[in-house]
Amino acid sequence: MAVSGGEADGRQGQAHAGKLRLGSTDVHRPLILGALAWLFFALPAAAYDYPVTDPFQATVVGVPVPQLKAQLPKVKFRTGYLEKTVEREIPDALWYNWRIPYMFAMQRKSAPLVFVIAGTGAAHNSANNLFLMRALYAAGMHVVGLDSPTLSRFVTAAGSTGVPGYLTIDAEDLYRVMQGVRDDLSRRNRERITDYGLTGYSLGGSHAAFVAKLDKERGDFNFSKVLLINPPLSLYTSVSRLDRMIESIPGGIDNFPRFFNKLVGQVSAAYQASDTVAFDETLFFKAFQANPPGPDELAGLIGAAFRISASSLIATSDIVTRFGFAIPANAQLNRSTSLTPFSQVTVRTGFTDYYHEMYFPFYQAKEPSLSRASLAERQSLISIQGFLQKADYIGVQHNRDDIILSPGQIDFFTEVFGDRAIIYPHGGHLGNLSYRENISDFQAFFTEGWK
Amino acid sequence: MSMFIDYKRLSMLCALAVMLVLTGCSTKLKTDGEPEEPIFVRERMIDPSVQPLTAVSDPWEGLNRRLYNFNSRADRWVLLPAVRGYRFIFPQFMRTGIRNVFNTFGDVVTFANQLLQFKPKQAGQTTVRVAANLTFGLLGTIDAASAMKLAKYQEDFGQTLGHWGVGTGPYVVLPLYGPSNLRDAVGLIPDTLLQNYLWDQLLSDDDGYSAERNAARVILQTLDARDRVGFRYHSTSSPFEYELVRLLAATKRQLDVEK
Repeated sequence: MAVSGGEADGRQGQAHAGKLRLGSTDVHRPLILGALAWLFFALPAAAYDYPVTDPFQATVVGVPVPQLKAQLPKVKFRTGYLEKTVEREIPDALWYNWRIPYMFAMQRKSAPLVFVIAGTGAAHNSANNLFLMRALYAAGMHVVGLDSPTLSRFVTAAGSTGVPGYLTIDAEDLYRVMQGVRDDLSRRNRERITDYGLTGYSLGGSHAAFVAKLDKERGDFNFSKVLLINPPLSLYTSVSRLDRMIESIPGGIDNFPRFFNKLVGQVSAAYQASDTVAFDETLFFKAFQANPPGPDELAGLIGAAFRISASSLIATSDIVTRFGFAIPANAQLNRSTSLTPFSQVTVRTGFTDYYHEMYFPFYQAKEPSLSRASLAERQSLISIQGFLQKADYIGVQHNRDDIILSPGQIDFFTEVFGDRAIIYPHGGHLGNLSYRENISDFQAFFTEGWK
Repeated sequence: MSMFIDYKRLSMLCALAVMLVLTGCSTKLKTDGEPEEPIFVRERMIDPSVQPLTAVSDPWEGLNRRLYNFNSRADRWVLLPAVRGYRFIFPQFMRTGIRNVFNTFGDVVTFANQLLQFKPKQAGQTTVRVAANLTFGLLGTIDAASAMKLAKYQEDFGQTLGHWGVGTGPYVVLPLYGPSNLRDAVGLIPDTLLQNYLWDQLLSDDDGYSAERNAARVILQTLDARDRVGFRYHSTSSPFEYELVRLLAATKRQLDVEK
C-alpha cells in the first residue's frame, strides 16, 4: 500500500508538476511562441554573419572565404583619360602624372550613372573601387571609378592647391574631374545618362558627402542617390588614430624595418612550405592563417600600410608646392634624382606632422585668422550636419567597431542619418565591404527610387 | 616584370649600360644656390644605426632610374600595344597553349639548375613534369602536369649562384626586362643560351637553322612574357614607386633563392 500509495503520490506529483508546467505554458504560450517566431524569422535577419569579429583582423584580412563574398559577374571596364585640370606645369620629378585616368563601364541602354570615389591614397582601379563598380554595373547602372584626391596623380594633375585633405577644396577638384568625365562619356557614348549617383569608401565617403553638398549649390549633377561607406566622422581624429597605430609595433617606429622583415620572414616561411611559386596576396593570407599576428602587430601592420601611402602623398605635396617639408624648397629635381632619402623621412613623419607642419601653415598663409582647431573642424561631417540631416537621398553604411572612429563617434551616424544609416555590428574598417550582405544592401540602396 | 631577352641583345645592352655608368648619371640633389634646409632633415630624424627599410644596394641609381623611365615608355608605346594586338589575334586557348610551350622550355632550364644545385629529388619531379607535358600534354601545349597535381618549380642560374652563396651585387634595371641585380643579370646568359640551343634543335630542319622562325619565336616569347605580368609602370603614381619596386623585387629574389 505504502508503495502503491507512494507510486500514486509520485504520479500525482508528476501530474501536479506536469499541470503546473502546462499551466505556466498556458500563461506564457504567446510569449514563447513569439520568442520562437522571433528565433526563426527575426533572428536570421538580424544576425550578421560576417565571420571576422576582431576589428583589426577584419581590416587586414577582409572577407576570408571567397564564397562569402558577393558573387558578381565579370565586367569589362574601359579606361578613359582627362587632361590635367590644373594650370600648374607638371613637375619633372612627377612627369608621369600628367593626365587623370578613370575607369568606366556603360550599360547598353539608358541608365543612371554612379561615380565611385576611392579611399585615402587609392586609385580609381583599387580593389575596393572595382568591387563596388561591379556591384553597381550588375544592378543596371553606368559606373565610373575615380582616383582619390589624396592620390599622388590627382594631387599633381587635378589638385588645385597641391595640399589635399581640405574637404571643400577636394570636392571642387573632384567636381571639375567629374564634369570632365561626364563630357567625355557623353561625347563618346550613345547611351543616355538618365540620372546621377555618387558613392565612396573611407575618405572617399567624406568626399562624396562634400561633393553632394557642393552639387546642391551648383546643380550640375543633381545627385539622386549618395551613399557613404565607412567614412571618418572627423578626418583629423581618424588620421591621428591611424598614425598612432604604428606605435603598436613592439619597440616603436625605429623597429619598423625589423618588424617588416619579420612579416616578410613569415611570408617567406609560408612560401617555402607551399608547393606553388605564386607571390601574391593569397600567400600573405596563408602566412597569416598559419601564424596569426597578435593584436599589436596587426595594428602595427595597418599603421605601416597607412604610413607608406601617407609618405607618397606628403612627398607629392612637397614637390608640387615647393614647401620645404622634407625636400629643400630650392631643389632642382629631375627625372633621375634619387628620392630615396626623402622616402625615409616621409615614412617617419606621418600625417600628424604633415597636418601641423605643412597643411596648417599652408592654409593659414591664405587665411591668417585660421586656427588649428577650426581647420580640423572643417574636415568633419559635423560641419555639414545640417545638410546631411535634410538630404534624404544620402545614406551611410558603417561598422560599429570601425577602427578609424573614436568610441561614441558611430552615434553621429545613427542620429543624423536615422533610418538612412545601416550600421553593421562588426567588420572593422572596410573588412566587410565585399561581404555578400553588405553588397546586397549597397545594391538595394542604388536600385530603388531614381527620379 | 620579367621579359625575355635575346642574349646577343643583352650583351650589347650590358656594354651600353657600362658605358653609361662610366659617363656618369648623378643622382645628387642639385639646388638653386645654397640648399635651403627643409623642416624635417633625415640626419636629425633617423638614428644612423637604424637600418632603413629601403636599403637595397643601388650605386647605379641614376642610370637605373633612367632605364626605369625608358622601360615605362617602351612599355607604353611598343610592348603594351603589341600585347593588345597579340591578345586580339590569338584567342585565349591559343595563348594558353603558347604559354604552356614556353613553360615547358622553362621547366628544362629549371631542371638544369636543380641539377646544378644538387636537388636530385626536385630535378626528378621536374623531369616527370616535362615528360607528362610532352606526352599527355600534346608536346607541351597543355599543362597536363598541373592537372595531375605534379609539383612545379622555378629555378634559374641567378638562383643557382645564390644557392652557392654568391651575393646579389648591386640592383640593376635591365632595358625592357626590368628590375634585377648584377648576379641575376649574369645568370640570364646561360639560361638564355640553353633555351636558344633547345629552340635551335626544334626549329632547324633539313635546310638548317631558320633565322625567320627563330625571330618569330623570340617575338612570341616576348609578347607572352609581357602578357603574364599585370604590372603597369607608374600605376601607383607615387614618387616612391621606384623605391617600392626595388624593395619588392629584391625581397622576392631573396625568397626565391631561399626556397
